[in-house]
Amino acid sequence: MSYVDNRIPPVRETRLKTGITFGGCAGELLDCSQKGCLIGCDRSFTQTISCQLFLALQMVLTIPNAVTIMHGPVGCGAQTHLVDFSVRSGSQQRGIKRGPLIWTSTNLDETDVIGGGEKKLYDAILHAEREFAPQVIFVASTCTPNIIGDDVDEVVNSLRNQVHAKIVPLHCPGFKTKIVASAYDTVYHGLLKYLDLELKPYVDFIPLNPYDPTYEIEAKKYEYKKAHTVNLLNASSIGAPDEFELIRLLKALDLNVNVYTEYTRPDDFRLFTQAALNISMCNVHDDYLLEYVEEKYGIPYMIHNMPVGIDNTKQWLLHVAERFGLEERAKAIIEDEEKQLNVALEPLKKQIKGKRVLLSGGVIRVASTAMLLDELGLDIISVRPYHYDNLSDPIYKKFNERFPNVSVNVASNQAFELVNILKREKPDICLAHSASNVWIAKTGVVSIPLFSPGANYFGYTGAYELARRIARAVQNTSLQKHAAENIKLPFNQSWYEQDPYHYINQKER
Amino acid sequence: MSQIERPRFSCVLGGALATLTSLPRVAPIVHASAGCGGNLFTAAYSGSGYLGVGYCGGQGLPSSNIGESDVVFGGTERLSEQIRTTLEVIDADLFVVTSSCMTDIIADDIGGAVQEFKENQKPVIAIETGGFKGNSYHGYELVIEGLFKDYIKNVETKDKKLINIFGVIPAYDPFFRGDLEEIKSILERLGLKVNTFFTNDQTIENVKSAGEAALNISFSQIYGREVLESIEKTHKIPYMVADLPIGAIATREFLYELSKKIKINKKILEQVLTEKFSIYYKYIDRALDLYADSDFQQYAIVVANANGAIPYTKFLAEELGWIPKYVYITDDLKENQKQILVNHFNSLDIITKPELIFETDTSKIGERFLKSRPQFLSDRYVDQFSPAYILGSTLEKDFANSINAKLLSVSFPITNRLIIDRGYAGFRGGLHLFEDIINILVGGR
Repeated sequence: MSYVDNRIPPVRETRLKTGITFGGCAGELLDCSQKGCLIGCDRSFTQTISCQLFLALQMVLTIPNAVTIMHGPVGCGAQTHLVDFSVRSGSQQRGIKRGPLIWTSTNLDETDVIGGGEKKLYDAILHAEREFAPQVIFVASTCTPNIIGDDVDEVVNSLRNQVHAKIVPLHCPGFKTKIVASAYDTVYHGLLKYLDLELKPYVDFIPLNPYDPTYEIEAKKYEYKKAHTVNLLNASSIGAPDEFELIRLLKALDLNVNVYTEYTRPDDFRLFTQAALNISMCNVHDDYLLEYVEEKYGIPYMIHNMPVGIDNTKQWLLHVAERFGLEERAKAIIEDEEKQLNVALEPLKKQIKGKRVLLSGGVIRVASTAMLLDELGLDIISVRPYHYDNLSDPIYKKFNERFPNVSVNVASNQAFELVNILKREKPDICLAHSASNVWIAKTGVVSIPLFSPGANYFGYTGAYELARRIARAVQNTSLQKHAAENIKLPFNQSWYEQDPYHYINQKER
Repeated sequence: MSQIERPRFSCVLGGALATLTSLPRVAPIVHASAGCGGNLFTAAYSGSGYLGVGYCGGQGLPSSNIGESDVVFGGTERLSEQIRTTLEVIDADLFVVTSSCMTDIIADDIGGAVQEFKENQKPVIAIETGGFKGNSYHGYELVIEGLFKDYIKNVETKDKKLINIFGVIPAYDPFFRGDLEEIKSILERLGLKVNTFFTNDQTIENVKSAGEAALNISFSQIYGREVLESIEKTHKIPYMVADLPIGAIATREFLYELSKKIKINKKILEQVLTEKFSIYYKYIDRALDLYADSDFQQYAIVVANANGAIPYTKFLAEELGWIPKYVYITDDLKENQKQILVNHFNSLDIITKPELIFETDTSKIGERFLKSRPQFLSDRYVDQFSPAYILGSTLEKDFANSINAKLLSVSFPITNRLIIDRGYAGFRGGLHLFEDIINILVGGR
């Protein structure tokens, strides 16, 4: 039985060997990952981060013609105001016309905590259907209904015959997992269970008639097209410019490219199974979805690191090409791309050579970007993956070969450890996850977002864009310098004298 | 409370954290799963014109980050550990433990947990803030209540010149710092001393000295009112409720009201008013060329929370001479709270009496206009709702486009402006609002 057959998806803590706490070098981390000693490892001092709800929302809110219901107290999902703009501009960049981001809250209160919130959810689903007539209604179930025992699936199932929209429950109580990336599984679980992934005859296509004289040629055309179509799996940290760059490279191989699952129109999900290969852009995003799709629909998938970095892009593209017997063509493309890129990078490399850099954020993203920055001539001094799991092993093996002495601090931000490390290492520049950059700025160091949906990081153009941005950023760091001189950080002086990993403990929790 | 479409506030914990992290050198310790602090900060951040992490907010917030096993077996042990380590790492003058939905439901005793630290040099107090107990405005109230209960001493002899200001809610009243600064500076000109608690000049001494104040002012008809009532009993501080004064006329009216509640030298008051009015209208004078030549008078719609809606409407009607038609209050209010606002609204002397509407659902705010559109675009003679202007939140963008209205975002959530020290209260604030409103009209030139 697959995970998807269960009502509720597993969290990453149980599905993978995963952890959010480590300090050491990559070799030790790999060793620890093998032995499983990351599991249960925690800190005795922690700072708040985010939860799987937020990431799950960032994914599903991009889907047009959908309404999202936050089933919980009114604070859950209140950060969605921040997402409204990025979804609007993300839609615009992808040519999708859409109105405002519509979401509602069941606004659970004390009475509901005692009496249950199922009735409110029932009403909220009907309200969403009546007011907005969406194609999909997502129901994000938060901590409170999970503790008080609301049966969200039961409510949803009882309404399926009364509601035109597909109702997709998303089980995302924050307390169940400290791995924010569990959200990928949560969302894919909902999509796989409740959306159609196959074409409907007479709705999406007219079945070929075997007695038609053109039958054979039409059937071959269809087969050919499908055999040269790939699905590219995106994520909220991957913006339109990155998608465009990868589409450009894949199209150079004469492949048809469809992009899923963010910004996908609900009807377009039925095209999902019309592809010869599913291609992931990151090791820790998509395995839950892609393994299931391979098992159920026989569509193979490729997860091979993140195409950030010149060599990483090359390897990624070659791996795709291999699946279609297009290696030679890919090699020619790569040679040409690299030649052009290297000429363009030459003047920039001189400006950023030897700059000492710290990277903090997504586990695959920091390692891949470190490899890119190494190619650009920067000096990697520390990486801080948000979490670590055994899906990351392949890239960290490579990382360890290249950077055996670079410190690795597995931490979901944890600004106190970050600041401690910054004060010791004094990097020239950081590349960091959102919500980390402010702490870096206050410490006097300039930073560039490690990812940003509006910017390009992937592929060859991404390498150039990032080099260009770094060259710009290091030219003038006055704001950060003056800020650090005048802003007091909230830490005791004694903290800076402690080992940054002082509060990491191995106790079983 | 019933469901809400795109609510413009978060939960009790969200309001408590926005409030606590806006206090000087106060560090909250969140007893919750890892997401609450971060997500609720993002909620406040995204709607408040990007009020940043400040001293110890955002992902700087110490948080117990409890997991499933804590929810099953109880999280107080983890909380004790987190309080102990927070005291080691974080440099603050006051530590406040705040609880969350899950820790309140499993009944973790946070009050008991802080007892262990009562000998600590820097005080550690606890406030129960489970999200399901209400919205962020109630979170603000619980913090004020908690501070007066466990931190602010009841001093017998009051400082006759000292005033505490309440009812301007950090983050959820996005201009809170600028507003409070202006109010403070005006009151100081009158020889008064002011605790604003949330402006950058404040220290923990302002919080401590709140018990010595001679008067509490609430600039909210609703939020904090009950708390101030009970403080009147516990700390013997009388209170007055007023609308946030926006612009010269409203500020004069407020100061006259205030002078009935606290002793102010009448001569100085008149001197200050004369001076402020003269300066104010010299500025207006220079703006009148543009205003009058362009016929900038507009029909207006105000969409704001219970604190802002009425003061903004008053400014538009009385100072700007506009025609406000509809006033939407977007908070989820109890019936008695609505009644207070209705009565207050009806008591106001607004020349063009607008309609007051309570509406929590964002999409419903535009509905009536869609229905009242001319049937045929070719109709030649239509008394349209135009020129139209909305003082609302950024969420009114689509509504504004649909009726071809201009929009200045002044209420939560504001995502299209960075707010640093901007404020609309008082004399300076009135000029700023005038300026910002007109800038939207001339911005395309």
